[in-house]
Amino acid sequence: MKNIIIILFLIISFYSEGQSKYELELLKSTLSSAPKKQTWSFVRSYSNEYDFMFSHLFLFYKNFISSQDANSCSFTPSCSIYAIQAIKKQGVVIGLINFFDRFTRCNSMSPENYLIDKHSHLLIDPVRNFNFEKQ
Amino acid sequence: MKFKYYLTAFALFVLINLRVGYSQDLYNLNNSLKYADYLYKSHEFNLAANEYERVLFIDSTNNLAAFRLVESYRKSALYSIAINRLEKYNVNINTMSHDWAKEYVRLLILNQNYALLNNYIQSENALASADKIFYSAISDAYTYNWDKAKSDIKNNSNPQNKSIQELKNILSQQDKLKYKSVPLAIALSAIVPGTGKIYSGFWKDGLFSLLVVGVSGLQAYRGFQKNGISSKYGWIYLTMGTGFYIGNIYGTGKAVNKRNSGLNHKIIHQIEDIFNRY
Repeated sequence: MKNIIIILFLIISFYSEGQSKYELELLKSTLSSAPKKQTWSFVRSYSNEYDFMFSHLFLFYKNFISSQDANSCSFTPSCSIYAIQAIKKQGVVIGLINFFDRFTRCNSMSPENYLIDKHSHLLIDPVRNFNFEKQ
Repeated sequence: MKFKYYLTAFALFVLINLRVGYSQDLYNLNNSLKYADYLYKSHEFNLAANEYERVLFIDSTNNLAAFRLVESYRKSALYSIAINRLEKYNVNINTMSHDWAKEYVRLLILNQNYALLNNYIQSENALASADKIFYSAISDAYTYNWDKAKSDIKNNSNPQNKSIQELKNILSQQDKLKYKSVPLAIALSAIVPGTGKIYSGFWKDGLFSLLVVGVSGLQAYRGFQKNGISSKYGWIYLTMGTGFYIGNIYGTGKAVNKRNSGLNHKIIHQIEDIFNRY
């Protein structure tokens, strides 16, 4: 009897198996992957002390304030990203002035003036310079 | 004994059919060319370019395949690669045939190589004088050099050229465009915040700016009136209001730029249509 049980156990152990790698991958594919954490690598290069200060203000805002709330900005890039991009691209003074303008435009009242991003369905408004030249 | 018989029969069968049983070389010159032409005619230019690359790898002297390769890259919007291939298959760009020269000029315009384009147009080449006038005017229009584009067209000695006439008509529309003045808009926004934006056509943004600057100013006024010059409340709102005020002036300039660019783009779209048909 003992031998029969051992043989049966061995036979079953040959044929029985847990989840195969293929099945695991299949199961994984049914779950939506968690969004990748933003690293903001472009923010972490500084040209001066003001840039350093605003970059860290931005990182603080993104990590502790913005992350606790849903996205409410009507633009892509969002106003906070726009501000830091403007500061990096145009310098602290013009960048901040540009941000104030953007902040007043962030009211969702004029979608007809912008293109719409297909993925996020937000209004596209990248950082642009004001050009005094006649068009 | 029986096995030997079957083996001999099989060997005979194979030998007899050896003449017929050959494999096809799907990737030979003829088949690749046929498939490349099929893709080209089906407007699958990206795929056609790959096939023409194979054809030219086998036979680099096929001029039509080289021309279609460059065209396919242009129609796939890969302008730099197209120019590279054109220069590869035409050692001397000044002695190229008329079709090749037109293709080269088109590519230079699409790739925004305007300096190179002007040099090429001014040099001796296979382009007709009407072509030179047309492409020169197109490149000037694309860089918003409207006056030069109009003067280029004036030099046209062939009034029968339909495309040049069309281009002339479109350029004459540019005179009628009502551009907004940047200094005027900025001055308006400096006097009454938001009015510059209203003037440039973005009236909702203008009204909102007026509201934001107005409310910030009012709050600052209330703070100072209540606690005097040492009011923190007043200073915070004054700083914010100043930011919004200056931001609005800057934004007004951008708004005028945007509106004027929009007007220019309407003309440019019509010019692109003629350029693509020429």
